[in-house]
Amino acid sequence: MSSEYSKTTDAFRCDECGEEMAVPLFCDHCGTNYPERRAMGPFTVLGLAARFDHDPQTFESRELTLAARLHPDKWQSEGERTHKRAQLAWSAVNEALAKTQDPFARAETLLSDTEACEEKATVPQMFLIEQLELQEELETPVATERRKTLNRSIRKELKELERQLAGHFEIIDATALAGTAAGEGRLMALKAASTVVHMSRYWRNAQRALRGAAAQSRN
Amino acid sequence: MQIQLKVKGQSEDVVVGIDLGTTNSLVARIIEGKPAIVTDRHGRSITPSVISIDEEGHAVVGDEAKTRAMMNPSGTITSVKRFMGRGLGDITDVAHLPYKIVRADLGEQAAILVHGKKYLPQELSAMVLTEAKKRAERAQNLRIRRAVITVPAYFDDSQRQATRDAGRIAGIDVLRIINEPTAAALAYGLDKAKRGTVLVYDLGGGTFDVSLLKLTDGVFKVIATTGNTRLGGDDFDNVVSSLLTSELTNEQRAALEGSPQALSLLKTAAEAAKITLSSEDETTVSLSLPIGVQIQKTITRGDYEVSIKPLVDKTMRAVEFVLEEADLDPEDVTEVVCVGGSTRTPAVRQRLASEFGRPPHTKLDPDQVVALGAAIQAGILSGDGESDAVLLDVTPLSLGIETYGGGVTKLIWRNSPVPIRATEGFTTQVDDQTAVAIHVLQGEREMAKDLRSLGRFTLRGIPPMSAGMPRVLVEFFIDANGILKVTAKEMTSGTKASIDVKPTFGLTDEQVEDMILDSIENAEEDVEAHMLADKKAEAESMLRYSRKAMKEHGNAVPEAIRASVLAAIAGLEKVLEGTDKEAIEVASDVLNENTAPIASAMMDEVLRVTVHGRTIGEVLGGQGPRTKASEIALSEDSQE
Repeated sequence: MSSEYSKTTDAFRCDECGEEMAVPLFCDHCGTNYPERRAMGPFTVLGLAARFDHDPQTFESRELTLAARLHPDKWQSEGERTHKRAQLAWSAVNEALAKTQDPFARAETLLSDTEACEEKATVPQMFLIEQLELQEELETPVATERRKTLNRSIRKELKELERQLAGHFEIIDATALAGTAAGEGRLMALKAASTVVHMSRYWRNAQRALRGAAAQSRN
Repeated sequence: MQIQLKVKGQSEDVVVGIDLGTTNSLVARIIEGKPAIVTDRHGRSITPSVISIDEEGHAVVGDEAKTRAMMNPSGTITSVKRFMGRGLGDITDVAHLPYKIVRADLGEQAAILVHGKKYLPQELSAMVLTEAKKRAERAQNLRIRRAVITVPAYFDDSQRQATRDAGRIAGIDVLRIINEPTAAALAYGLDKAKRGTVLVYDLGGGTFDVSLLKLTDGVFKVIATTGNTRLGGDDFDNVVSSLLTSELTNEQRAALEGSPQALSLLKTAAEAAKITLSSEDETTVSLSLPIGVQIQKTITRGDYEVSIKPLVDKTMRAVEFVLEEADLDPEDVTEVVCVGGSTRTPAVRQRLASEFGRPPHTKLDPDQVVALGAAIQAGILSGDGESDAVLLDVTPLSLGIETYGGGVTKLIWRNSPVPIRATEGFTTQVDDQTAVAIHVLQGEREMAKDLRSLGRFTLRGIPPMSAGMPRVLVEFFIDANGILKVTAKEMTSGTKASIDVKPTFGLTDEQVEDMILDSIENAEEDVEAHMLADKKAEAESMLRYSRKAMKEHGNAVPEAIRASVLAAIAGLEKVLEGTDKEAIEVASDVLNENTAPIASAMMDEVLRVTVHGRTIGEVLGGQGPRTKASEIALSEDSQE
């Protein structure tokens, strides 16, 4: 866990006890918390490099290792104040995971820190028409079989978008430190990535609508 | 049989897990590192969640209440869990109930009318908790102050709060509210393979949950959960009741519905028949109802299974849904765990076996597994147990706020891991507006009117500014219990806006306090709560005294002392909102210390008056007046 830090960011040490911290927000040795650091980016909170290319396993194993040390249940008998701090720190870990674990959320987080955030993403017109038709279909109850088919195809579409995103971020991540010198290639990749993220939102909304329909048909 | 070696009369302080069930409640604790159900002096492990209240308002709880059901049908309350945190409009199946549901005097929640008196579900649940607690305490010479209490995973915020409040009213410090299926997984996880995906199918007396968990080296992570808080064994009983009464005429039916006693008899017979049909192929029920109706009917298991199929189908749709939500297929599930008495129904087990291609785990008693898991969690939280497990749970429902036009903005999505926080900015719509109303909702639908109203919050104390200028940041925090806390801050001026909470289907903290005090009057032995109440009363009188002293004699002391007294008053006022006895004690001491100079100044003044202008030093001879006066003040205090 500390090796990941040393590769990416400086390790955080607790001001109180001097021990190395699992996350910058909360010392799991002495219980001191650092609320002012809560504004840190989600990658920093998790001690991961701010890049797109992460093995999905990384987030899972990170969550588990952190849980074993930081989870508020581990601090319940250490007094109410410490327990409360641990709750806040752990909720910050949960928030950070929500912003990084899912590839589209991760892309969005990374893009919001770049020059691309100013630009409005435009999605292909054919795609929009397709989405409008889907939305229309989802306005009325959907039969179970059809729901399953739709779910499967949405999953497939999202997988494809994820693949494209990885390609765009290969360029973005590689040029992250090059600044303006990276030029046209980087800008195009940023724009393409924004478009993909935008398209993923349509699919996610459709997925939610489908699940919402399923949730209602159950009761 | 446990043999306890300890001094007679000295009770052992333990932290327990309590399964507060729709039909039965159980207490479990860690003994020698392993969870065990606590039995009472008669060897009973189960406290029926039944309350019987007589005409004078005296209540009995548990087995005794169950036996009284026949004599006192309209005063015997079962399945109170179904009404926890619910409004009158939520309760639909009133026809089957032998007692009356009315609107409570507090808020919009439902209350139960017994012999002309209204009882809140929280109060009735507190009675069940108290009984279960007492039984365990007496049998094993224990003292139970702290507990983990379980709730269905699909319980919303109001239902969770109601459960916690019931615990508080029963004089229990509720360490944590945990989800029943998660508790069950924890109980099973003790001797399980280290990694895997577990589906917990929990069909209890009145609620149904299905949770999907990922187990990795002692971390139990809930991936998705769903359920139905109005589906359970009670519904299976109702199916049998319908089978039994299928041949009644309309007049007989009307007579039946008008007779609590007949309904109660029918329910008991139906439950017995249901249980028989889990092991036998058919059962014959002979029933003589006090409305002049004889029922003689044979029900085969086949008939029964056909009739419950719609209910079982409903649960299987939830199973499918939870898999879909987690993006998993049935083949990905490595273990299926059955929880709740209703999973004894062979038809349920068969359906699960065919869906997942393997028989579900039923090794642990489905009635006990939740309490055992709660005891393990209690051990983890108190640091007493052996278990090193960590539970990562989720919120079952999305949380949102009402927007202009009756829409909703979702702030936290369902199946988000808890604790979790979301912040949202608010502003004013007219110039000099000093308050903003926020309506908090829970659920999956798109319009506010279709969602569960959790409460209305009013942000006050916004400094007057032009419309749109104030930036109020509201923080919604769902804690590990799945319970929401809301705080607010005005960012432009830095003032902390205050929040008034009006729970839609629950009680405010003050109302809970009142009920705690009420219950103390009725239960003398509740020493701990008594001590808290005493400390509070003491602190309150000290507050009154200090405020008065500040008003009348504040000018006699320097500004710095006045400021420290005011701070100490504010500090005590703050802790008095809670129930932390130690904190109240500490804050009382601080106030006491800080008011000493005023007491001394007051003494000076009094003495100056009585001895005609001479200082206290002169009167007492030689010693510094302040010192002496504060000694007097101190010795007065120490007389208590």
